[in-house]
Amino acid sequence: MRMSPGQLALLSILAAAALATGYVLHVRQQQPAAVTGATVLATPRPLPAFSLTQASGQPFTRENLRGGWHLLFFGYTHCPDVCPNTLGLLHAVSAALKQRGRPDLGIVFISVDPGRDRPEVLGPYVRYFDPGFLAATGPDEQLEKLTRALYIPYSRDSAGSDGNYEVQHSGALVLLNADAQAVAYFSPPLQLDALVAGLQQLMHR
Amino acid sequence: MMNARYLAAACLPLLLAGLGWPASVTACAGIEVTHAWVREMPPGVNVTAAYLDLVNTSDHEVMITHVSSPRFQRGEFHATRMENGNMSMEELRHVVVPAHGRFSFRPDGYHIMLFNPHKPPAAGGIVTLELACPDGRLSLKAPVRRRNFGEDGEHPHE
Repeated sequence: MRMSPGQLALLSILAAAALATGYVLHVRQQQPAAVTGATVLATPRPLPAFSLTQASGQPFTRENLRGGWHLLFFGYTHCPDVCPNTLGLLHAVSAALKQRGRPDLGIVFISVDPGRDRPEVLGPYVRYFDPGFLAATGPDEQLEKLTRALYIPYSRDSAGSDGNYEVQHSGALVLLNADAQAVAYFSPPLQLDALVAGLQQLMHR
Repeated sequence: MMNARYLAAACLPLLLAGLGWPASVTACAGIEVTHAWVREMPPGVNVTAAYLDLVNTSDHEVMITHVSSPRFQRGEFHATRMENGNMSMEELRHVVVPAHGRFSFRPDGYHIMLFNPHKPPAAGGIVTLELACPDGRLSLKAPVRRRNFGEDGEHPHE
């Protein structure tokens, strides 16, 4: 059978379209579905060893983050705006996840202001927002092991005449899987509904 | 007999104070304050934030030069800035409310930072705030709220 040039051209277009469709389907299968408001790492990133202190006075290490999902937030207690907003939001997130049958997400507040946020200050502070929250801090050298591995920058101003100073910190939340590996980031502006949906989706994988 | 207009003028400040609006209407002419509230302080903390909307009903811009509260040692205007995902605060020397415009202090944005309370305000209480303009002061009362999401029924980014 002989084809006219027109038929040949049509056949080539159809073949190209079929190939392109196959390629798109292949790529879709390779990539995880997008999660609203989250940056999902292609490969979970393990945490290095670090040694902090919990609000209870107990040590807080990588081992404390194994065996369950955790969401980390870095801040400081003398923070008038972003930190209380975020911790209030996280209380609502935790309550919403419990209602949806996911009571297993541990929420951890890491203070990057160890000078003011002694363990005895941190405990009452986080319990004010949610009695289930964990809190920890430690010397900069230990904090930096964790923050550098997670790309969570922080810095502190020098104190003013009244002793007050401000701390610059990331507003991002880091989701860790049960093997203490970072799997996703949620960056501000944070929204309750999107956060709850994104966490449910990620913890389902 | 008292003219009805004078009676209304005499009652206006009381009426506005009762609504939580500026008790003084002579200074900061054209400025109305709405949605004012102060965040209750978590234990062990000596700073908090106040949030409000400044609405300018006049034909000219109004500059607010200073904020204070008899309840606190001092107050400052602050902006929460986000750069590359990093949050920091920057003090503002003053804020300007454009003619027929508004300036909003809201969570995660502009806020009034209050330092060192003489007595920490508790949720359900009232804090007096004083805003200074070039032509005088405007005093307002702001309720204190705990503001946990989903508990007081309000959304922070309303």
